[in-house]
Amino acid sequence: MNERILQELSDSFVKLLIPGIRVTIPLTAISFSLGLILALTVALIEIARIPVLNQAVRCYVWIIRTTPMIVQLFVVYYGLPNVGIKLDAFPSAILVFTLSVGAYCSETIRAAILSVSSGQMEAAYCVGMNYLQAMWHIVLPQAFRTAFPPLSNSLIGLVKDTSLAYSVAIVEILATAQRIAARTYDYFWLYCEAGLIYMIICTILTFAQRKIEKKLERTG
Amino acid sequence: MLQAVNIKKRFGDNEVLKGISLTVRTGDVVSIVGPSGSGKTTLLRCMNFLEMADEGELNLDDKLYDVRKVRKNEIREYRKKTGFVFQNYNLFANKTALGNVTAGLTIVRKVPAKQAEEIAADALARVGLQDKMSFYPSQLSGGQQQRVSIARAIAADPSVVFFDEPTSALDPELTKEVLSVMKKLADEGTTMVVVTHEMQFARNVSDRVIFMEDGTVLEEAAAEEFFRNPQSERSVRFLESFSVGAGPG
Repeated sequence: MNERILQELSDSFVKLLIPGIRVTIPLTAISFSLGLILALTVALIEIARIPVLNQAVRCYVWIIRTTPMIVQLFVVYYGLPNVGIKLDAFPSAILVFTLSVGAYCSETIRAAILSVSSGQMEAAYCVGMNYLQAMWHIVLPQAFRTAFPPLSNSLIGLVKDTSLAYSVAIVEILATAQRIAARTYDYFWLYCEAGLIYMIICTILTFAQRKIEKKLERTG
Repeated sequence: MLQAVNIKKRFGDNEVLKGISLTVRTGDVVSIVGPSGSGKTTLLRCMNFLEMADEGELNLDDKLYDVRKVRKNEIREYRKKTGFVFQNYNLFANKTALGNVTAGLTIVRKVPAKQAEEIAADALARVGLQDKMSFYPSQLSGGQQQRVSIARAIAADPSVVFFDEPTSALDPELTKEVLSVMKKLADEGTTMVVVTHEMQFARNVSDRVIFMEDGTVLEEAAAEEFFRNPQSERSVRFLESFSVGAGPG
């Protein structure tokens, strides 16, 4: 590794960090938040066994889990215009990532809710709560503690999966690294550096996860 | 006053309650005793709609509930007028002792937080736990947890409090601590229906005893009367197994 490459890497570090902050992080944050709402909705529909809706959400989870995410991205971004639905790259990616989080995390959340003892629900009923109050105030806070570590895993997974947005022409970290390398031919170093940016983001998230887990342990 | 009329319940082919009727007057303490599997707990759960009876009527404070026609919001109204104490406490694990007691007040009855905390603190003081208000259930002993659950059940001043074998999960020392709290409540005039295996409690604290066997009420009598002079051969045998009250010798 000579001085030129060192200089190039330090120059490009900021250039890679910028799309990380402006694309990868918002893409992750928006998809994950929307995905969690979707996942919770799916989990509650499955637990309450609401007819028709229950079959519909199971079909949705099945489709998402059995097809590659990059195929889903292609279908939404390149395919949907054929049937008259035209989405820009960023909303396409948000849609696909949200659906993915919704499908995978619904299983996590469903299992966590079912792990809360049925006596908690009964006790909530006995003080006069209705189903939604009991869920919201008693069961979900406890389920959240159980679901938190696997959900953190999904979040970190999503950060890395956003690199697939590269394939629908979103200029995120990987695409930026490729553009720089196309000019300088230092593919090895630039792609390693792109990996480093992901490592930094995911490491920060891992630390945050540990902190929050400790805090959750303290209460109750 | 609580009245249950002809409560029937079956699980599949098994007829657990064969038409049970009972009356609990305001201020009364009624103990339901009997061998395991006699339907005591199912009866208690049916009286709070935790289990839906197949047939029968409940009358609480002059409002009639037909178990076959009762609506969800009627069940909630009914439950708001009752308290329930579980065998394994079922304290809300995500809430402190204080939070367990305030939950029913703030969330269900929309009592302002500050007022709810005063009511809850008062209820916790009645069970002798005024110094444990900020503790989570996992930080409390079984006896303390059960006392919090009693505080939770009495906080909203219910017409009747149901106890489902409240001391069965406790060792003798903790049992004593919970029973003395229950005795105190009884002395203060709380209306109580208690499913129990504690014959001393049934004898000394309750006004009346209901002896159940195989889904029916075999005997109903004033507490002292039941223990001194049990009427059926089955209740004699049952009491002998505890070696208290009646029996040879």
